[in-house]
Amino acid sequence: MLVYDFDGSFEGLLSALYQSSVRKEKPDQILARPGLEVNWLDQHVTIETDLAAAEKVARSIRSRISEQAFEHILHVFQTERPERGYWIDRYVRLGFRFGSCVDDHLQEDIIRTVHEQSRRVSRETHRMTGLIRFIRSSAGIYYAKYEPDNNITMFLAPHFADRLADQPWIIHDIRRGVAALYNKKEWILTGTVPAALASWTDCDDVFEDMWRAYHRQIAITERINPQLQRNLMPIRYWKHLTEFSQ
Amino acid sequence: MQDLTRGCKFSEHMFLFWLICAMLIATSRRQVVTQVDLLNKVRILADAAKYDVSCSSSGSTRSNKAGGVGNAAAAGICHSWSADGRCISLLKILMTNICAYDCAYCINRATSDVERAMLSPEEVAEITINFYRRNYIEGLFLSSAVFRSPDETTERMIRALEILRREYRFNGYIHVKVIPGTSPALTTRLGFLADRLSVNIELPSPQSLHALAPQKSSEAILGPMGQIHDQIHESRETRLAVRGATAYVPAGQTTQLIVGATPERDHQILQLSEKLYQSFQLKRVYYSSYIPTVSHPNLPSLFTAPPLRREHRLYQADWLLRFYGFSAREILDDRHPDLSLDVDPKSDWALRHLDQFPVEINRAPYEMLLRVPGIGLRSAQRIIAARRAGTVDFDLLKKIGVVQKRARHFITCQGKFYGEASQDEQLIRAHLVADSPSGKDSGLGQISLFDLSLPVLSVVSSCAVDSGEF
Repeated sequence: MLVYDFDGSFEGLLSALYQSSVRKEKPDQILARPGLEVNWLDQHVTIETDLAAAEKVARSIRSRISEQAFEHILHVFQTERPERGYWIDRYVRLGFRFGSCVDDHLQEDIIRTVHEQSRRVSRETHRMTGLIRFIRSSAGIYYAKYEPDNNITMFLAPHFADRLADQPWIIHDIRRGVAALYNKKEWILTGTVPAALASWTDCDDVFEDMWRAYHRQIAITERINPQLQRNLMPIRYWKHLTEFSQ
Repeated sequence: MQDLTRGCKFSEHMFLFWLICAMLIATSRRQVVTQVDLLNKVRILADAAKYDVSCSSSGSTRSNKAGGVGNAAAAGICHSWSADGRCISLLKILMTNICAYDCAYCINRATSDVERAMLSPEEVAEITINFYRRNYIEGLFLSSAVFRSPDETTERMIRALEILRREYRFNGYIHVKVIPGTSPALTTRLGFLADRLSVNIELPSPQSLHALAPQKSSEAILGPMGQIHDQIHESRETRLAVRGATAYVPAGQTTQLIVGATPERDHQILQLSEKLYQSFQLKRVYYSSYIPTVSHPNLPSLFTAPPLRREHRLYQADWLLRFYGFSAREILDDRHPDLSLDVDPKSDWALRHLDQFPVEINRAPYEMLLRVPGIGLRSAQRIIAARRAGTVDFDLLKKIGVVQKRARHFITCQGKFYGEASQDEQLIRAHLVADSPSGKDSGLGQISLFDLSLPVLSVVSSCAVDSGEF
């Protein structure tokens, strides 16, 4: 099996796509190096991240396929699934063959897979625009921790930068150790987050109590349906929701 | 007194935190007492508002303004789901439940024995902005009982909105329920502050309204609906001419009616909805299963279960009206006055029109695909896309989200038919009932906790964010 390995960055994956075209090869797998177990039966090619090449690939995906296709790729990458390199590679190959109507080709398994994975990421992003909960510190900083399935902090930050523009906030993916920080002007994404942040607890916030009371009260007793509630809001998300804490 | 220290969650090694908390409590003791009071008011007034079903926050797209807080997302956002499985998007609350009216079906009617409370406009604004900043909510859904008079009530609501919009520079979503009998000038002011207005039509016919809500007339309901419709139209024209003019009710108006309290049949209800969509261009009609909370000679008994499945079918039929190109007369008529509880309205329609089926998936126009049971908006669009790229076979249908079990009776793929040998209405109906997710449980309200195989779609929340799908 021909395996390409890259450094785990998006640019790294695009560099791998570039190399495969230069070397006229069709890798069976494109895997991220961190945590990679090398099988001696496989033929390994180590891809060095080449920003200029990555830029070239990105540009031609956007112009020769479509902006939408590029967005799908960006989303699929953030699933962090081991197959993502393979999916994206095959999708891009079909894209260069079919051009801007590649997304019509639902008969191709790979197209449906890419759509499905991309939708998972956008669905979770949309869901999290609602499920993020900020805790207000006495200094007036709003802090939210969460554990999304996909690496979506970068997709979430612009939403809150527009919406909560006049308050400083932090959105912290505690599983990946990634955070978006916003200072009332602009947001940045950082991988170095003070560990103390995650264990931060707050003093009494009357609005938290009020929200819990409201949440309990608004349910109609005659229509109680916990199964429906869990279908719509999977229980793995409850951990960081103010309404279920305490 | 326990209340005062309860909120301060400290652990042993957080002595400093505890110290700060203690100091804060000492200095704001008085404030805490009033906050407990406020919490109680929220409890009473959320409870009083909970039967209102509409909760969607969709329809407005607005970026934040410099220095402001809040925007509006076109698709609407759910922030949580309550224990009854309804989406919580907006802070849904009454300004007060002290009511001058005595509507028979209403828990807050003047003669009802419930705890009463009243929030000040300042309090409404303060709670909203603080919930919003913590991302609990998408905005505010403000309603009220009739406190002294409709105009006095509306003045208080306007004040709350003014504080939010001007003092807090809140730019998020606001939905206000218009009190029947409010003067047109006040409704206009309200409309320039809110994203969405709604006037509850309450009951499906003027006769029922008269029997149960004698103080509300159909004129008092239809009058403001017409006014809001005209002003939305005017405002759109103005905004085309004058850039940056303030929008009036940019997310449109909706209404709500109670199902199951009065004897109207489903076809009357659907025709009413169709008329509301056509003549007032309403964004949504919400249907609310009647839940008996008060005993009254003109009402079903207190032991009547809310007609949840009927409500569910009405929502499905409503979707057919708004997104699937059906007319109310096609869905139901005098010979079929009520929606089938066994199968969904589209299947029911198709079963009565078997002469129009089967249709060939590779050739049928989009409008016809939408009429095939088991094909939704999204899967119809996918079929069209896949047809541009090649042919569509039966296996592909399942992969792109068509409910094959339902659709197979009504389609051919490349000329091949996958349904039963005979196109017999009763036989197909029996198959549809057996295959439908709703065939597995006996009542929508009592879905077994252990029935994990139940797909979400079969119990789609009446209060889902507008997704245009079901």
